[in-house]
Amino acid sequence: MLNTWLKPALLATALISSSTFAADYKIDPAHTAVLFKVNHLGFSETVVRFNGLEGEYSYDAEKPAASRVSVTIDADSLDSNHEARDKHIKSPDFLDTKQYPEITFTSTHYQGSATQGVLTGELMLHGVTKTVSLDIIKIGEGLDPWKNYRSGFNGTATLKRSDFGIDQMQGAIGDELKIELFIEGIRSQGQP
Amino acid sequence: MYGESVSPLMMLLPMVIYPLASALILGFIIFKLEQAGKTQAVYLLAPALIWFAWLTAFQGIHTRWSFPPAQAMDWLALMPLVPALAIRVPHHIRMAGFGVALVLSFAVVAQPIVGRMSIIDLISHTIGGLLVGGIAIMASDRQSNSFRFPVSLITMMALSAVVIGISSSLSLAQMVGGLCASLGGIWLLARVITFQERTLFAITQGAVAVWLMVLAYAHYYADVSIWALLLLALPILIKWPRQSSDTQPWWKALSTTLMLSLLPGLLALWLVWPAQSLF
Repeated sequence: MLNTWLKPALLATALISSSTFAADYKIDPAHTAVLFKVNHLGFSETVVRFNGLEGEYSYDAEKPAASRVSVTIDADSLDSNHEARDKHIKSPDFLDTKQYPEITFTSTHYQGSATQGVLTGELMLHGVTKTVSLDIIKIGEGLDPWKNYRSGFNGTATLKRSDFGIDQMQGAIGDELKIELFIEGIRSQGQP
Repeated sequence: MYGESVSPLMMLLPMVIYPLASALILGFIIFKLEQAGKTQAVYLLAPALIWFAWLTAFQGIHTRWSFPPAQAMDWLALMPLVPALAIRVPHHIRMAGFGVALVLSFAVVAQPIVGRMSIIDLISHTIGGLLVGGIAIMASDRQSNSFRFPVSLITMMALSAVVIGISSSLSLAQMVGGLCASLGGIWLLARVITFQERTLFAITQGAVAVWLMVLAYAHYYADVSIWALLLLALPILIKWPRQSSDTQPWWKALSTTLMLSLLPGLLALWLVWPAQSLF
């Protein structure tokens, strides 16, 4: 009899505790960057950075599997340190930012430890949604001098732009995009 | 510039060869229909001819084209047919009819942008579109020289392709190139066979309709300067001398037309020329 009641009660407690203790963080855009590298004519890699993004994530060192992240990138904020090239990348030849102004990533599950693992989720780029896996490494967490609790992670992923319908100038510009994510978040007020 | 996987010849196929060949074939069909006295068919097909020929270029450039349309560029393939056919509205309401057809069909193409516009923006852009469309059709209605007017248009189109390509989008520049080749094909055909004047003007006005739609797309989706586009299209306002009273030798008429149509375009090119090299 006790077993009949105890098991669901323990399970419920475990579920509640996982959502209670997984701290929610708001991404700090000033200390976050998303960039990609793409091959240029086989000679070098061109780096393009997105300056505008927002989002939040949830992270609990005790229960890393419950980690989740949701990021929205302003596609029009891209910056390759070359104005004419920026305009070209934003044009219908590539990202078509007038039609697809946002790039979003929403995680679906995380596999790994509290400091390192693989975060899988749905990436919506150029109007196409595909499952993408990010290799994640935790950089650190703790109180900053102003008593805000912060944590930070780096992530990398490789994808093919042609999978997302971005297939112009293949050959001259590589198909492979190496994505790098540098993320820092501030824990929401009132969280443990 | 484009690497190994896209050779210049492969680029020329959709941009020049396909539209030129289709324009020649379709032009010949219209000529035959005209000879057979099928006036109703010619009346409807002539303004749509360039659109048909241009589609052959379009599908080779926008290779992920889908039907039913899924994205703005898919809509761009279909919607120019509406203003092209709108040149057949009665003369006394043509300016308004063409303007409305152009603005409404482009609104369909620009759904994602229209959805984010404020009411004030929407009204001002609609008025601007109606004005540009109305003036363009009025100016082309005044023309009576089937030798010079298409040459002038082809020159403006060629420059607009360069301006768009340098400004931001190579695929849109190629699409305008396809339009040039289509109209060029008809102009060449008209040197060999004799179309009725009104048929040739309807075909040319159909090209104006498609061109305006692609220019609008380049401005709204690829941020090509509206001032540069308007500037290079200014020669459309030139009223060329009536063909019957055009006494200049063909080479002189051709070079004068080319030069007058080229000058504002060069200024437009200077306006958009990037401070840094593009690649």
